Amino acid sequence: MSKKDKQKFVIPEKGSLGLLAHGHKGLRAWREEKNKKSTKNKNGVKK
Amino acid sequence: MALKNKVVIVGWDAADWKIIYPLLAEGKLPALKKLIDNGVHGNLQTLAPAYSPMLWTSVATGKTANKHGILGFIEINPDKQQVRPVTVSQRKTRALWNILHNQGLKSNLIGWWPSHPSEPINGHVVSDMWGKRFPEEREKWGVEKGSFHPKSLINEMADLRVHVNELTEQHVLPFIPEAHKIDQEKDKSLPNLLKILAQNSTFQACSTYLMENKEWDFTGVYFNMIDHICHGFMRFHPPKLPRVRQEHFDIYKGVVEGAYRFQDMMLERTLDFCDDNTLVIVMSDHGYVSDNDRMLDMPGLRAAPALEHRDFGIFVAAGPGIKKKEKIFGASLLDITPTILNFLDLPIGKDMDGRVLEDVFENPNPIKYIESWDEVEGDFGEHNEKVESDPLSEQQAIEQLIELGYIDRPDENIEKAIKETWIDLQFNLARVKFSNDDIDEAEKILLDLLKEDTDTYPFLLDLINIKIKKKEFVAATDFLEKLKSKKPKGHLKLSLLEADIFMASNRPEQALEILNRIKVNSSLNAPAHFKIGKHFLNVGRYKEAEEAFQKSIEIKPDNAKYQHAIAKALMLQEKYEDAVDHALASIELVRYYPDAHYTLGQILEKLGENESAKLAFETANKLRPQNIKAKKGANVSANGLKNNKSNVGGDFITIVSGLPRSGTSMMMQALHAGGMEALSDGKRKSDENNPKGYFEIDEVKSLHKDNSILDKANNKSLKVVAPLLKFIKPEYNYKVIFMLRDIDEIILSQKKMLGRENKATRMGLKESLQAEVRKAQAWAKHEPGVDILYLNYTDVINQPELDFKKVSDFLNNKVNAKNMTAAVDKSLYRNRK
Repeated sequence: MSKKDKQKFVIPEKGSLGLLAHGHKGLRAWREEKNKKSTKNKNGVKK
Repeated sequence: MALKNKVVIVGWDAADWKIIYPLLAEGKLPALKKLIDNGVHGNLQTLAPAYSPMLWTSVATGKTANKHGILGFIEINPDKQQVRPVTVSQRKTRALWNILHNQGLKSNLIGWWPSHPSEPINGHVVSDMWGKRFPEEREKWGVEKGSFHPKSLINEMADLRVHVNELTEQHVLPFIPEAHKIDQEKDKSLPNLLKILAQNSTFQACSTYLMENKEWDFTGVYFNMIDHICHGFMRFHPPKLPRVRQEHFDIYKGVVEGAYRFQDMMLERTLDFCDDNTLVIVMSDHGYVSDNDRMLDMPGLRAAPALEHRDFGIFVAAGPGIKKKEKIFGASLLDITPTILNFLDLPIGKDMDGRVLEDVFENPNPIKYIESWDEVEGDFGEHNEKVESDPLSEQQAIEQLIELGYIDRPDENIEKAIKETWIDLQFNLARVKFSNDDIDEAEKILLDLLKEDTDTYPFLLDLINIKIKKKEFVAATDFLEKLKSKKPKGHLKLSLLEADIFMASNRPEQALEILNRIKVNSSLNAPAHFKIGKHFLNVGRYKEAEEAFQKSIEIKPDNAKYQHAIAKALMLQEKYEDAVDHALASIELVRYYPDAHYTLGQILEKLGENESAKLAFETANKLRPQNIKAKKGANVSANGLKNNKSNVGGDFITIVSGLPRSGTSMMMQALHAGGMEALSDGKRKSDENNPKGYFEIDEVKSLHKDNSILDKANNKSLKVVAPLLKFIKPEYNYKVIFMLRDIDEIILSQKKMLGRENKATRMGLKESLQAEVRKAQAWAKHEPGVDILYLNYTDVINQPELDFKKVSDFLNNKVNAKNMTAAVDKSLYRNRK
């Protein structure tokens, strides 16, 4: 049953059940993506 | 160096095969399917009452709730100033992770209900209170006191909590595609769903993190998602119930399925952290009603939602040394901890109520025992100081229990709230004792509770059942009257109870009158027909029993008890082909049904399918190891003892049976003359009715209570009247000489003996005597290890040489026929018609 975590995920800004099911890595990856987008947006507004 | 074995338990509270099987067939639960294909699976029997904190503690301790002390959803805190969600501080015995700690093994425990406050074990504990309270803003989210161990990692872990406000439509739409149609002003289903989703995602993030990054030997992760979602949404699960509004059904019909599929996605990920040395167990503590018995209106009873919990949860296990693609039977929640200890080569406590599930292993480890893990000195990673509580989190947890309907809102008057909680816990304890057959203790608690000024309805209900069990019918009737005086909604159900009292107290006419009256009621017709059928079965009217059971099956075809009952009725009419179908249907519905496997064995034996019969008896024996009859049935089928009468020279007990005054004393006397010792105490002296003596022993009269007298009967003869035959000890072989006599002659002889020759015969006496003979004959026909010889009293008197030769042959020549013949006194044949 051993399987390495090699899968590539598309990470939507609004998240997905798949990311939550993936556990800590999915959760962190989603939050990272959200933060990235939100920073971009903030920067965009400033411009 | 060989890698060490590890264990993972994934707890899916309330998961049920009835939902799972169709989803597996559609390929919607691939991770679970993978485990099933590579391991064993089956039902897991729950315990009563089926309240999750009690059950999961039984899983973790291998003990019933009276031993482990967790008795409900809430508890009174130690300073008796408030009520709070149940905590581990009430647990009176050591859990699996405490034992592993003592043995130097490391555990991850995530979300286990209850596990708060986190115990200081080797490893990590994310308690059931972790992440339960959601403040407005995630940034201001504090950590609940005592909800994580070790404290040094709290910051690392806190970030793995999923806040309800983080969730988006992407998380909701897979469950509710038409979520936009929900009127959120009136309908609070959506926030409840989000809360459940956030909590369970938190546990998943924590468990995957700990499994991936920390050393562990055992991981136990518990998810409440299926249970909580079923409580909120099962009513909308297909097929649509007539009373559910179409628009609600359309919106929420996919939520339950969504919960299972999300759970499976999480399982897929968990399996990534399990290597070839890991035993993986996926299990639930109980099932969940999903058919037409779903309740739309909860009765106003304590913990009423638990009424929707089915008796069987799921069990799936795969890993090193585990059998593949096999179904297992007879597993209980109590068996999980003993099985894991055995897998890890550790001893199990003799005080544990569960057993090692040896059937799941290819080559089970030898089972080692110690008296009790609780008596072992040393460090078990337990609390040795009081952990401060967190009132806000506790309140939040209580609110969720109220939303789920598990508890009523505690009274604002704290004294009243505490008293109500105490009553709840005592009531649960009584129910645990009742289910453990400790009925005296259960009764004592319930009688104490009756004195409390509170809702006594459930106490009375249980007391009636206790009194019926104790055969105290006057008291049962008194309690029933009290209950009736409360004019409860389900008064017809009380009629069923009343019928039970009448039936148990041998007043079948009154019972039948009630049952015939209520069988027209749509909600009670199936049990009413069933109870009518049971009565006919008991009095040997098998055709009528079959008809009544048939009606109950027409109403509820998926009731295993009804299918089993009709199988018996058909078997007793020698309709074996039909009987086998129903016995199989019964087992198909509930695999854990030792009596049904036993009946199947009896039927198959009659069909000459000895090998299959043996298998059925063996299964019955496995499911209930103390089922001596089944064990013997398996031997009988294997050796053909019953059919071939091959017990030549072996030991057996000779029983002379029949109705009183059918010539049993004459036969006992003849056997005695023939050289067979009679088991008799000689107390009943010869008299005018039996001038040569009765050859009786007092203990036989109470065979139904204590049959140990049979331990002294080997190779001897004793007299047992027909109605008591069914109480003989199953572990011995018997040769039964059954005396038949014209019923009118028997009645005449009995009346004369009682000095009532001139009185009218009681109505129905003849029929009931005939029924007794029929029942005894049916019993003997299907009882393993019993050979029977029927002799007619008149024939024996008229042609003793012939009949006693038959007896001598039947008893493997252990008696001398000539000497028997010489002992017969034809002048005693009186009371002829």
